[in-house]
Amino acid sequence: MSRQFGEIFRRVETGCAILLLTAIVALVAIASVARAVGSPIIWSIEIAQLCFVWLCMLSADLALQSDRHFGLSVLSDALDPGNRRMLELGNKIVLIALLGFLLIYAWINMQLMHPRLIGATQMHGSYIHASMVVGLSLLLRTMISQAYTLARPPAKIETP
Amino acid sequence: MLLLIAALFALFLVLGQPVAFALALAAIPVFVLTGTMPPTVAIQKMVSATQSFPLLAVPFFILAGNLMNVTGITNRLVTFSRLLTGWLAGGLAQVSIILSFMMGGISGSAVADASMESRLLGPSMIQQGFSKPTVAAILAFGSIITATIPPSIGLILFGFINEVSIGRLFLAGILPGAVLTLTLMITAWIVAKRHGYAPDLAGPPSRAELWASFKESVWALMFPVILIVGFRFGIFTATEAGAFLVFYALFIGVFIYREVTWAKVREAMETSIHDLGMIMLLIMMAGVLGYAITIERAPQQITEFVTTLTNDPAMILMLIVVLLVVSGMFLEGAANILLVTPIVMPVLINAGYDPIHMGILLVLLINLGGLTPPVGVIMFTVCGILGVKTGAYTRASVPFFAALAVFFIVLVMFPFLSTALPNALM
Repeated sequence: MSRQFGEIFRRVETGCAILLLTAIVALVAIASVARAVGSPIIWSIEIAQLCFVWLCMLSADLALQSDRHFGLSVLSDALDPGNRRMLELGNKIVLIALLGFLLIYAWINMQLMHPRLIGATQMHGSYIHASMVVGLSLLLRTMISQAYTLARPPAKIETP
Repeated sequence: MLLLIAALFALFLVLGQPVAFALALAAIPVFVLTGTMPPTVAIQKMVSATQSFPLLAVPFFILAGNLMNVTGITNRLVTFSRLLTGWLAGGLAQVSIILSFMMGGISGSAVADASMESRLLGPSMIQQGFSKPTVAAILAFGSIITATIPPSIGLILFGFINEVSIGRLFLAGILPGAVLTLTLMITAWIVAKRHGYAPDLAGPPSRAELWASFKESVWALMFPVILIVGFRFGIFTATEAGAFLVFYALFIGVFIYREVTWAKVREAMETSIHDLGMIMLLIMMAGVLGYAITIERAPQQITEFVTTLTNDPAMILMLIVVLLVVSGMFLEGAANILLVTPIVMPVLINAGYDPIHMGILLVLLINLGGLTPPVGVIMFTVCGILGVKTGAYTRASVPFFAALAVFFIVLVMFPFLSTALPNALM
């Protein structure tokens, strides 16, 4: 059930990320053509950059789900499987604390930024900064799910 | 405080935390302990790291590269490379090196190139009698050519973080890339002669064969040429060029090669999103740490420290080369570019070095770190795919390390290799 939920979640995130990436390419291409023909569209780059920060956070979470954020494995390679699992679990708990801490301040920051109006579009700053709240929440969810999987006894992990 | 940041970063790195998170874990205590900046500033720095127009080039070039890979362009380039160099001593080794030079204009990443070539050419090379460690060494060293050929992601990151023109950096990388290709081809030729590795083809191809293969590959070979022409005539910026190249890659796939399906486009987009997530989280967290170490005056302190040691520009450069080679051995390329180069660039500019020349040198040096133990990412990629032990790889790499040492001396002594093209064209 939880695996099914995770898969649906991943598909929705991937779909949103693909839409954002497509929008950014289109917006920058349109802006450059408009600039070349002498009638620049000033809002298009602002919207592209808004989409980009959202894309960054979604893709950071998708990369986390597929273990793409690399690190050193010198210590974990030197440990036996039991201790390696404990080390990985410890690392994930530290990251859960870090992401939780950042999420609290991302929420405060989003509220602080809301009254600020940005650029030619005069959009609220919170439209940009809300990406951190959503992105950090997604990273936190993934991290908790990975820690939970790791914390379960190994025998249960192996059962399909 | 700077020592605390360095110690925390090293600790979390050794514990096996992903580099991006180790950066944040090292930086956040500065915000908490000093009390001068609220942690909301750290969040703002993460956001502002993404709000740069030049940085939008990163997703575009990653996507364009992945789209080109699903259009069948890679196979066409392999055929063209085989005809071009397969008849030389060490046939497939030469093919792999020239392929890296041509693929550089597509993949833009040494690790991607090394992994692709290890799967594509590695087994055939072993079948033809090459020793496995030699194959790993040739493919790993050849892949760093991509770091200099536009659109190199490393050069985009360097330009972004050090405020150097990405267009000029792209142009600057071409000649050193060509010299590096030649250096590695000569080394592969010597190694092949010594071990008696046979050519891949019986003899040189006919002109008609070569021309037919060139026509098939020309769309990919045009990729960097379009960039150069675009920059020269001010048609587009590096970011706009990236967006244009996405459409160009789609156009080739749909209308010229007719091999692109919606499933392949989706696959290219998903791969790009994963690549982007990895790089961008690193950039965002490096933005936080970069701010923390700037507040702690790290660049000034390091400049002052270096000038107390020596005022001789050559010695300063030597110190920084050693620093980068060592940090390259422990840190992945993108992290190194984002963390170390902003600290050492003021020292180098102060000593009178050209930022463009230094950009090419530093990015290549950082990639050199990817080829060495203990944590060379390129080395692990190639050795992992081919099933080679890193000790055997390191022994087989000796001639290539020697060749790279000669190349780096030439690159340092003749700055015009890097500056001639940007000065002439921009």
